[in-house]
Amino acid sequence: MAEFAQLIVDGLVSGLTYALMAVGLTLIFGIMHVINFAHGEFLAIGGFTTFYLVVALHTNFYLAVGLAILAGMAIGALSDALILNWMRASHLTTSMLAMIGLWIFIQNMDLYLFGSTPRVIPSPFGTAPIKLGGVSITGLRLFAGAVALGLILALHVFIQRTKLGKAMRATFQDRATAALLGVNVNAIYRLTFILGSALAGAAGALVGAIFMVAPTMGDLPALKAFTVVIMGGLGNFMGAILGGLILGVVEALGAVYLSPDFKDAIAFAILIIILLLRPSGLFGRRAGI
Amino acid sequence: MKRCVGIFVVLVAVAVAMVPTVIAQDKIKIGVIEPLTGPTAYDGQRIVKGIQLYTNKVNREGGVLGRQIELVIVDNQNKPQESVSAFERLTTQEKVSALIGCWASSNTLAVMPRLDQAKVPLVVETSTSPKVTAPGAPGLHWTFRLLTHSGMEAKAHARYLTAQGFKKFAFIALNNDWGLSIIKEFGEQVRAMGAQVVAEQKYIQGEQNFLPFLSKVKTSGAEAVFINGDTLALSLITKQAREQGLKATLIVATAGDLPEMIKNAGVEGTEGLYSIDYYDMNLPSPVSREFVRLWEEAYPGESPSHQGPASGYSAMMIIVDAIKRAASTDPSKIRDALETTKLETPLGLMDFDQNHQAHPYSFLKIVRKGKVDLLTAVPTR
Repeated sequence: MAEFAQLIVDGLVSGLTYALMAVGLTLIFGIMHVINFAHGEFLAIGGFTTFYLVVALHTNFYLAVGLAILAGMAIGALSDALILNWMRASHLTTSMLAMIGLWIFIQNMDLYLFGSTPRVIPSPFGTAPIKLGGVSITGLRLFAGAVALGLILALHVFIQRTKLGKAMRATFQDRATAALLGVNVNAIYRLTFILGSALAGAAGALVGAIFMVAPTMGDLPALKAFTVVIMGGLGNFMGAILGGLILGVVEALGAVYLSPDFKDAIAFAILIIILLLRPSGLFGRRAGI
Repeated sequence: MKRCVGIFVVLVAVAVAMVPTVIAQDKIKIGVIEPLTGPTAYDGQRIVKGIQLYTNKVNREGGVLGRQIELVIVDNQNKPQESVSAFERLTTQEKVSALIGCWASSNTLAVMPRLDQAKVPLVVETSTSPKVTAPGAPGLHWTFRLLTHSGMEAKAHARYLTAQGFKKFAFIALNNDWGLSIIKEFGEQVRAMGAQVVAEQKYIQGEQNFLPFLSKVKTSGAEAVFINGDTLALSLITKQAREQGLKATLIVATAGDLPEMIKNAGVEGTEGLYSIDYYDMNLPSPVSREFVRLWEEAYPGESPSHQGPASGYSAMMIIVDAIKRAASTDPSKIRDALETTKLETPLGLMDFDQNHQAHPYSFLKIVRKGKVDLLTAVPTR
């Protein structure tokens, strides 16, 4: 029983980081129709920002996490202004190819600038676990789970309760009508990309602190996030959250009760089954953002 | 007359333009296939630094057979298919005299069947699957391996480890030729000593979250866990084992970059960690000392204690030695000379058996309070 509870807790924490990545991706897809293959690299930028702030500049860890979110926003704004802005009218595949290019470019740039040595972000939490009953969890993982949850909720409130959020929802539903009604669709696109990238930056700080920071650190989380987005329905906000949590828990349980060899295979097996049975994802697209 | 002068000027210009090309062609090309990007880039780059260190030393001292050495380094991303395409490029376009590569056993095993046709010797600097130097392996005629393979290491250390009182062993290993051979060989040897294997966990390259694997190990009741992988994976396993409160002793099989692991997983996290190693930087031989000195001059602050730099350096030493003895840069003649190698290198004495396998010492180390201590050095011949 303790083992089961332990796996659920570990799975939920991993799941929250998947959800954090997936929410950004699904938002960008839902509103902008862009498949952001560079999302994992924005995560890496968040990780490196945190690492250098904490290690080289001795910035407070919590402040560094906040600044990593800003770094995510900055790279998002830059990518949108320099690349996506010029592809608004083009087909999905054009921007997808551009984003694949950006992915390769940023990853190699990181490798050139920072080298391949994996680095540890020192965190104010010790490595000794906190024990609750039979379940042990480190303070850092608790913090990461809480921040991920907080950011997702904050974004949800922003989209549902603010005027800008309303404009985002309108653009999601019908961009032509939204434009006719006076929504500056171009600005909404940029805002969406910046918000999505901010979440990737945050995920980089958290995942980087739990694991390590390296130029390739974004590859696996991005792949998982794509799975989650497809699982939850492209463009579906709640689907991305639930999909992330499901994936995290199923992976953890499957690794122990089936076989750890299948840990990554499980994610993709679920994906294939969902695509066969419910091609528009577990929760469909129309549920909206 | 004027026309003659014109022709003369053109000829001189052409001759001058050709001089650098002539010199460039005169260099001896050695091909290097290593992972320089991707999750194992750190390990690959350290090997390349070792290769460059010896190459620069030779070139500074006037080269070999009076010619400079030029390294042609190609990234294989630690993938078998990329290794094969790197190999094709180096042998057909670059026409290298010898090759060093290809880090992971899966890469080396993908390249080996092509050696008979390409007729270029391959000095294997890492790849420790027993398959590489198994009798009858395709391309073995052209392949020479420096490091001990998993079977030799398991034999060397199983007795010592079981004598520490460990009766139940588990594995967390990479799901490739290297990891699987560790599970097979170490499993066989500890069973032969009367111990049990209670869990065999395989993970995929690039994995970062080892908590599920560690949970399984925890419930299996293992007293000691062989952990296998690149430096990043080993650091993460060690760190997460501590986070999960795992009590079992961790044994790196094989060759973790211990100083890097101590940095990553912390002094407390690595306390009591064992590591089976190919190299010890405190070997007293003059070549070993010279290597350490050159490395520390070239890369201050970076420890050469992990075998990567030493094996890159030794691989290059062996090739240069073979070229000297063959008095030729013809790949076939270099191959013949490699067979009779008897050379002291930073890894120890290199002298290949009939399967082109070298028999250096195998080391067992332990980490205590953030310092690495050598426990035993076992001969493998």
